[in-house]
Amino acid sequence: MSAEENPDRCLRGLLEPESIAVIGATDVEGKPGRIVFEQLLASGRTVYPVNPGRKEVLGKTTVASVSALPHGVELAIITIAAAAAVDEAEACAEKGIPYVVVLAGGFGESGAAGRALEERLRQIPTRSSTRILGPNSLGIFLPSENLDTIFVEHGDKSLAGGGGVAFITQSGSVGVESLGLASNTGFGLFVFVGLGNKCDLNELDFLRCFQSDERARCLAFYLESLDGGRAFLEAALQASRRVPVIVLKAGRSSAGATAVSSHTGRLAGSDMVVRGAFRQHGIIALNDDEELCDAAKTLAGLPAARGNRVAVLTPAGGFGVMCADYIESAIRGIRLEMAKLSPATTDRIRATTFPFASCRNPVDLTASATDGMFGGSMDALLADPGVDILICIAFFAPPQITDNLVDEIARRAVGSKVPVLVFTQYGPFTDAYLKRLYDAGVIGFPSIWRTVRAASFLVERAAILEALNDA
Amino acid sequence: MTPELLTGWINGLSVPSFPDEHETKRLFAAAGIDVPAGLRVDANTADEHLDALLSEGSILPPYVVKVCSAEVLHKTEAGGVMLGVGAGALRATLQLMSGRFPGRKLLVERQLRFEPTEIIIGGLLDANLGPALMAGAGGILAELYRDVAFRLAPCSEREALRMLGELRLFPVLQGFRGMKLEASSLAAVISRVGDLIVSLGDRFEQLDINPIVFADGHWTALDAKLILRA
Repeated sequence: MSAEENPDRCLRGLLEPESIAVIGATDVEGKPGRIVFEQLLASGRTVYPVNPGRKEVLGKTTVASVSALPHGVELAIITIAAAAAVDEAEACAEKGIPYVVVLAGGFGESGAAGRALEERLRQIPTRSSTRILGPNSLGIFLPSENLDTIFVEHGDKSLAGGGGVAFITQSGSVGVESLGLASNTGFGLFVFVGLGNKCDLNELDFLRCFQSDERARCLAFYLESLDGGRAFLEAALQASRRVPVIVLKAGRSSAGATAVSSHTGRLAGSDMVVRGAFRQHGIIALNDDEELCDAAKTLAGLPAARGNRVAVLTPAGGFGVMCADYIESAIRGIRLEMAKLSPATTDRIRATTFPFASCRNPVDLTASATDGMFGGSMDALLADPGVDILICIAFFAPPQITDNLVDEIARRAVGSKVPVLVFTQYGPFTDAYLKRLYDAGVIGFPSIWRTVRAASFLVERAAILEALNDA
Repeated sequence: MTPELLTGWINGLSVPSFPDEHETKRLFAAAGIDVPAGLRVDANTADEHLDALLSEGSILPPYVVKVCSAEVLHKTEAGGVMLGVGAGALRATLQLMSGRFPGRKLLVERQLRFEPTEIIIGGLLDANLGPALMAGAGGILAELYRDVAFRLAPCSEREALRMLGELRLFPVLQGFRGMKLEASSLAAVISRVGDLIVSLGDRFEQLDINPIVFADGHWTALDAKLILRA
């Protein structure tokens, strides 16, 4: 049954399998068959090692072949090399196993012999009910289910979890590095899917699946080809009513190359058609992995902005000025403005800080400010109807500002209808502070530029929601 | 645009699969896209009929005279466009152009006064996503400015308006320095172009309207090129 027919329990056997077979499970250190088997054992599920050459693996009795597996296995992870992997995938289909993940590379991406092998994999779902993820895929990582088939180093799993980002990637290395970012400073993963060569399951299947899953608060894709074509765009348009859909599409399109005698042909020789199509379908387009992860973190964690007016609160004049400069230069084609603060706001900030404080936006509290003054000023700015987004510049330089600033900010930022973004920098401790902020529910970045850019995501998301209501 | 109308137009082309500018503009007019009043003439158009045909089509001077053939690229550079031709100079101009382009048809159009902003609207086929639209800063410098935005076709008027909103020149469409240009009616034209290329189906390859200008309260396609698939 396709995801579309049964959205509530789409791909359940893949995402929440009760019983898993690891084909090629081994106890040889460093082999994918060992790493994956060990990780899945730790999930507490029923896991069968399939290996004809060994009696047991890591103390578990092996099964000699796929055909000898007991009934009811929902997911098979094939950890062996390309040619043998295809034989095993075919055996899984015969056995009636609903989901198969093929980790190995050496398929369509590597010459004629590989393409022939991949074609055999492509045939499997056409004649059976078995669905295949991959080949050349890292598989699935679902922190909440403790389900992890990624066999390469991908940061601290416990740190990467606990969030709302569904990260669906065609490239393994882009995916893994993004997971590294997620665990270093936090963007909070709900699920990771490595699409690999997409011989069967592709971005459209996962878009349809996660669009109605309340646990997913941002759907982030890294794609090199749009296999779903317009169907993917249509589905994204529907999904974006509930949840932000963001896509990094790598690789330029060849649109317009056919008839370059026209102006249009010469002007379209880039990815501009895809960009326009994304905008038309409620998708936020991104340019590189850092931007994708920043957008995922921002959009999964904060509401869309109600407007484009930004207030900046800083203890350091220079950073406030740089921030204002970025805000007033249209970035990513999104226009942001410095908010004009109301007299009531100004009075309130002076009352909570110093009678002589500079209360023009950016609001510069100077290095004399304390945690409490910072928090009080946030209260004033968040209450100003002319402020749509608040950027806080946070330094943890003693003595006035202490670590309590994290809580001061979090107390006001979490749940605020006016989104709060934080820029922080503290030498080698920057990542640790970003992580602490994230754990407290606050979205922060280690540069002014990335913080302002994050504000532009929130404004773009608001424009998308407005267009959806207006359509 | 009904399929019958479209099929009739395709079957009526003087060179199959290669519509000339006049034929393309007739199609536009049928699709609700304004074009200047115009008349296609050739060596066989008798002098005594010319005046009658011009007045019948409300084609008033001054005129633009253009060579009208899908095979002549870069008309302007080839000397294939004459502007500001008065009523008394028309016959001589037609003779001059016939000499310059022997055997080619010529297009006589009313020369419009328009607001000094030229827009380009394009249509193309994306290898993966199918028919798509482009709009932006037009004229001969279009490729220098590269101020264009894209959407897939079909495209609603509201979406076309959002597309225009992405252009650097968008303020020009919103009364910048007193210019009287309408964004909403331009969006309507873009949407109609989208419908047209969709209705051409697998015959469609590429389309250029450059420029389209705002004249007498109407966005009017001054130049048009349509490339069909055989």
